[in-house]
Amino acid sequence: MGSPHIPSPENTLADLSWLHPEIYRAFEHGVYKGKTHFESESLDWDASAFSTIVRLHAKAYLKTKNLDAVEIEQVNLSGLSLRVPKYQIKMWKSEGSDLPVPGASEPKQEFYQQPLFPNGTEQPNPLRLAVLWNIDWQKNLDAVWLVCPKYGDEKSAEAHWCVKIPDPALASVPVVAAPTVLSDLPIKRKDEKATGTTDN
Amino acid sequence: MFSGRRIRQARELRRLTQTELAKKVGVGQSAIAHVESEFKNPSRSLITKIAMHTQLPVSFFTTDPLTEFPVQSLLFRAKAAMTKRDAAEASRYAELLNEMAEKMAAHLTQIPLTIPTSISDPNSAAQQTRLALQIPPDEPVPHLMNAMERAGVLILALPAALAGRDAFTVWIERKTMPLPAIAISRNRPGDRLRLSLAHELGHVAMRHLPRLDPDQEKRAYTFAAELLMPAGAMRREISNPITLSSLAVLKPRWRVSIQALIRRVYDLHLVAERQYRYLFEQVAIKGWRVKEPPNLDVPIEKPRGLRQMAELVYGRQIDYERMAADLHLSPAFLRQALQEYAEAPDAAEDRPTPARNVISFAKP
Repeated sequence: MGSPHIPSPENTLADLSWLHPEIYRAFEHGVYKGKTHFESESLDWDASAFSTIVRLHAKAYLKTKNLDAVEIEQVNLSGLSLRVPKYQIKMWKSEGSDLPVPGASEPKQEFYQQPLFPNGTEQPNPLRLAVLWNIDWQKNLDAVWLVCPKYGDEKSAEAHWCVKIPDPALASVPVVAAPTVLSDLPIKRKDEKATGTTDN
Repeated sequence: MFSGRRIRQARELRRLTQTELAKKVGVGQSAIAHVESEFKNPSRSLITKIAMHTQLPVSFFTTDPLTEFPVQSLLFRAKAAMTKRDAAEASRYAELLNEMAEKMAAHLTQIPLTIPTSISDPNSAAQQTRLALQIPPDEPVPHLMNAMERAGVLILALPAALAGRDAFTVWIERKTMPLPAIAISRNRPGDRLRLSLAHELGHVAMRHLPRLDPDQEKRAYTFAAELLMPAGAMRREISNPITLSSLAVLKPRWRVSIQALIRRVYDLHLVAERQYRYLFEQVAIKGWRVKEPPNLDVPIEKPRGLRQMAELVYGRQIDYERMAADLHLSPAFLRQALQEYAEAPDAAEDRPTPARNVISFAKP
């Protein structure tokens, strides 16, 4: 197996700049739906059901965006897994930015490895990434993280790096030109026949 | 002969009560009351003292004010934070700016008023106003202030932050027809200033009377929303699911606040009431209620009219001494007033470049 070359978090975020604002918004929308579901139905809080509703709506949000390069995989329990060029991305709820420990889940343990060049092949595997989302004590979206897993077993998990996906509202630095008066107002001196301005 | 109305104008401009002015000039309050009501003629020495304490030339007090803007009407629409003293100061300042404009206008051609002033439906009024401002029906308004000035609205830029009010409208009687003037407060964020301007323009376009009328305010808000965020364009650009960050990115394009966008999508039934409340809750949690993200700041628009008039009459490098002598105001007052206005678009070319004063030590 080839030794994996892990790109930096900055490069990865830049490479996914077309996608990560939509991922953030998908969770913004999902959390709104999850929260209001419990409020509108006056239901007792259920963290597991909440996470499922968030995932369901986050997935629906991503589908509405018709992102050509994104393949949304079918996963049990409304799990979120995307295949995009060069990357495979799975999304989980977490506490903070720590990768969830895979426990006995073999698929998860396997996902945490990064076998970039499997034996006998020159075609690199897609980089495996995890998107972690969490909520604050008021059940509002707190943060969304992009994590590059390194290793995971029954009791522990490790990441190459972890970076916060920026809130698209705060991250965009739009070039808003200062509104300039492009030309003077159409006024002139009464004693001036031609157009334009005249100094005294 | 000195004008009692001028004495009151100067006193209120400087936020003084009759008692406070009397104390400064060493007379009793009744003496000020008498000269203001023109029951008694002030002595030259009293006028000189009043002039000194109000930082205006003696000649200012020799003529009557051209106009008087009613302070009460300003208070009608103001929030509780505005005191009668604030309103009087703003009105008096606006009167003097208008007087400057009127006196200089005698030497200049006029911009005719082209915006509609008698449409009752706020949405139709906003659409007609867009046409008059020559702004396509579904495009953002790039520079509202400039567009309004081009359509014949006089902008009176106050040099101080107005408490409890961002802007107010006055109608000025002219020989041919009354003309609208909009006074604007200093130190307002760019997005808020634009919404306030559009709101005042709504009062103009629907010819509202200056009175306390919540329905009138609501209609002016509807006008402002349609003018700055036309329903058709919003429906095309905003699609469900709507999130806070998806609205935020529209702010720089439309140059309105995120909160105005939230309100707009609610009014257009693009979100339900529950989501509307949720979005505002998120705004509050993120601390954007008072200050929205600085990376999305909307630049502050400046008016141009009054300064351009001064440049045409008193030269590109404005001759403040001559202007002050003509208008019976002090050069300092005029400088401060015109600072609130934009310089000529090519003014930077007139300034000496630092390079002219730099000796190059670079080897050939």
